[in-house]
Amino acid sequence: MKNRWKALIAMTVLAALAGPPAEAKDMFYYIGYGVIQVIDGDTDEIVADIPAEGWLRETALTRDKRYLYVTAKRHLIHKVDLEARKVVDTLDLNGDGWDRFVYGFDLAPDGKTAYLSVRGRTTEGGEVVVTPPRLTQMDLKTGKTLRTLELPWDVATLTTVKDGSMVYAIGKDLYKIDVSGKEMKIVETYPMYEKQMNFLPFWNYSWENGGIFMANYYTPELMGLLGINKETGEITDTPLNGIPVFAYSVIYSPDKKKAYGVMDELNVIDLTTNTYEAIVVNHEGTAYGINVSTDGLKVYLAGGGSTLTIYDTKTLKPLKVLQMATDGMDLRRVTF
Amino acid sequence: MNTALTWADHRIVDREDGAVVYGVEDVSLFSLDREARDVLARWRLVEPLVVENTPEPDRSVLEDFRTARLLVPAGTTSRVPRVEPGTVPLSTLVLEVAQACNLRCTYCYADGGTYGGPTRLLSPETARRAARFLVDASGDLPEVTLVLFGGEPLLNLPAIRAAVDEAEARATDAGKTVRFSLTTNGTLLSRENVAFLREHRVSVSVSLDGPPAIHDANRPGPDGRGSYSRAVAGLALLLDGAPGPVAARVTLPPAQWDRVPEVFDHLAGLGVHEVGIAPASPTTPDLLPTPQQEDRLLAGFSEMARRFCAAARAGQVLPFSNLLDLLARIHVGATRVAPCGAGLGYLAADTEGRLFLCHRLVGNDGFHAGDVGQGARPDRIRTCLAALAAPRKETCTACWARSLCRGGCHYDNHQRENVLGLSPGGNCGFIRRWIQLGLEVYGDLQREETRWLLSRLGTRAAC
Amino acid sequence: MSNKKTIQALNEKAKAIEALADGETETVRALQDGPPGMPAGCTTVFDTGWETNPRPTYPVGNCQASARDFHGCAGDCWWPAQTPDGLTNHPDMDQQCPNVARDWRKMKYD
Repeated sequence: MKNRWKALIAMTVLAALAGPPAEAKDMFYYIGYGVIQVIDGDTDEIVADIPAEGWLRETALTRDKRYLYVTAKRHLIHKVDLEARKVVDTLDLNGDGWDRFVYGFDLAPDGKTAYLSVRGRTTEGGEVVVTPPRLTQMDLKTGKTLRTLELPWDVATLTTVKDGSMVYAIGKDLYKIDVSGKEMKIVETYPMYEKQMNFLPFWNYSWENGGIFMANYYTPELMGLLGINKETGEITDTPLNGIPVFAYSVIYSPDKKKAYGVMDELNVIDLTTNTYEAIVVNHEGTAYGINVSTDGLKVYLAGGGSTLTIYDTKTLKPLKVLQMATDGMDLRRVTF
Repeated sequence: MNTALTWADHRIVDREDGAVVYGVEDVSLFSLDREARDVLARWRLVEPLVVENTPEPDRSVLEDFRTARLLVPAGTTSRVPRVEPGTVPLSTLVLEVAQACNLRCTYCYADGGTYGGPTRLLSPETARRAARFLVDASGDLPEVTLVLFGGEPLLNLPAIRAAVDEAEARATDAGKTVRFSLTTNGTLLSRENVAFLREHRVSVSVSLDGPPAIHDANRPGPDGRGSYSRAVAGLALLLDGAPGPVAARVTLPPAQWDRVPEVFDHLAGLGVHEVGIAPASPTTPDLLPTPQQEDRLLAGFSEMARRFCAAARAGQVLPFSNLLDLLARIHVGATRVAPCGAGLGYLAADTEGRLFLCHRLVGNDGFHAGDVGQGARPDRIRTCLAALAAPRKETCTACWARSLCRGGCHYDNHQRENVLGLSPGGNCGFIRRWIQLGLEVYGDLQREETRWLLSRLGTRAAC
Repeated sequence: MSNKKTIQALNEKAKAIEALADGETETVRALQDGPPGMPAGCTTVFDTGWETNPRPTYPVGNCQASARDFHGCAGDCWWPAQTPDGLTNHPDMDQQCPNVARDWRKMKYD
């Protein structure tokens, strides 16, 4: 009897230490094809479909968690009202004779403008003209371009940092761009190419990842985690020991003692030793995206094929497989 | 999945009731009935071929071709595995017991048995060193072969005894078996040395070139007198109560290439158990054959092949070594990685204990590859083999006989190309025609009444 | 294989080749050749190549079900030669079959 009480107390204390505030609620957004599907993190059921045209790619969340911006077909920007669960506005970057291709997308902290890395293409006299990527600040209400800065050819993705005063754009190297003044300018280059760091610019998490924009990279020898603290702009490079696993995307556990990566396996990374702790073959096959529940008890694999698999982080066994309406690109979590 | 296929390199031997197809890369042989032959004719030039898009009944037959790997996925390439000298344990050492000879054969590639320079004999000590080297360099092979060679090896019985004694002792210590063979001109065989050879189970080949007129013309002594009667007397001693087969080894210069059946018959009449006939190497320009002479040799071999098949139908094996060896290789279908074992498990040692790639290249410093005391030098072997293979690289790649041939005799090639200055490939036509003959004979032997022979070929190939 | 044997193995090698084929079924083709673990094929629409598994884990030496990678590759022209190109010629390809594993038969493109 006494022991049982002790155990109960211990569990309660643990839950209080590790768990989120009781009122926190996870909602997951499955970034699909022509649709965003909403999953309730308590029941792990699909609770809503939000139609959104095109093959969906980048996502960014407003500070108030009301709107999720999602790019589609590399030239549409959907504004999704998460409360009303519908697309309330769509901007199309194509026009005036130009095709445009968005690869990096992030919101300014006020949510009124966005920073995009955009390539342009047109024809002149029957010849194709392609422009290098341009860092573009866009008014999200009007779709007007406020200012641009030509970037090196290799730039793909980007993130805003230091309360919107800087943008970090990533290609072969990481370019730090000061956007606080009238003119945007590259002020520093963080070298990656010479360190043979290869970075897949599709999947990164920040608001679900303790404010750290993070993606994995590869050198010929190893896999590492590249983290950017969105608040301070600090870059952390975490090379991992051992034969690299294959992963499209990585995310921290909420306590940041671990990281999870996914491609054909769910990889558990021990961040005290920077080694691979467990490698579990995916229940349903290749997945692109990964996310964790706020309490750290569940990890979600989705994207690639049309399944979403929820794993128990303690046992690394699948708890549930959801059959999604479409194939997918990614899975984002918003905690209300 | 509809895979685009291409025809694997193959050779067709047409027959009355269909054809035999030879898969060049795999050394595989398939017989086609008339329907399959027709399908092959219809589709052979269609590439790439998607079997699933072809109409029945051709489609099922094409599926069979795919099963036979005569139709393979487009882009399929194959590589000859490289055998690295030094990684292959030594299985055979040819020992030049005597670089001297009591005969002066007209076609001798060894310059009267000396391999150039003065006559010399192998010392018993070097013979023992060589025997130890053979056993020690044989890795985990359970069996090794020591070939007692010359010159005329029976000129040096002390070295033969030393080599045999040491090899047996060393092999016993190492838990291995050693086999001996000896090639002799037969003139020095005596009751005593035949008894010694039997005691140690030395298998003996006697060089005999046929009827007296041919033999004496080819194989005179220093005084110019023929050696037929002395050789045949020696052979008689060997055959008298022989515990194992005795083989005759024939060498014919091009002028005699029209006399193959006659030579064979004569030697078989003497009671030898097997006859092998080698065209003389072109050691001098006058030993280079004309195309007509090659035709005659092929005609002679074809006649032997015809008789071989007839004998097989009568339940007998015609003991013609050349054909038996070729058929055994075709039967098993093993693809060669090198033309012969020279430098790859096979080496020759001269009277000073110096090692050479093979017995025919003894004395040629360009092919010197270590010695029995220090061991073989893989680096030298690698260089020599690469240089020998280089001139044939392209022609071999395109040749349908490549998997059974891999380039022909190193010595002959060296002689033709480096000594006589001929362009590479002079022997290729002959080799291809000979292999083609073997394929035809093998196809013939598939009849019900001759099939018994095939399993025997498998046994021979294993030897 | 046809019921009637039109082709017959003669030598031992040919028999060995036929014996190899006996174990094969028509639904599976060996892609593997060359270095262990690396397939030789991977050029058809559903073998985009990216899924080649060089690790000693399941599925060893084989491709992942690459239907799972199809749209990811198609939209961004990741494998432009092998999937429809979503940037220029097939921007709405995903509408034909947004769920490849389920609806791949509906897919139409040149």
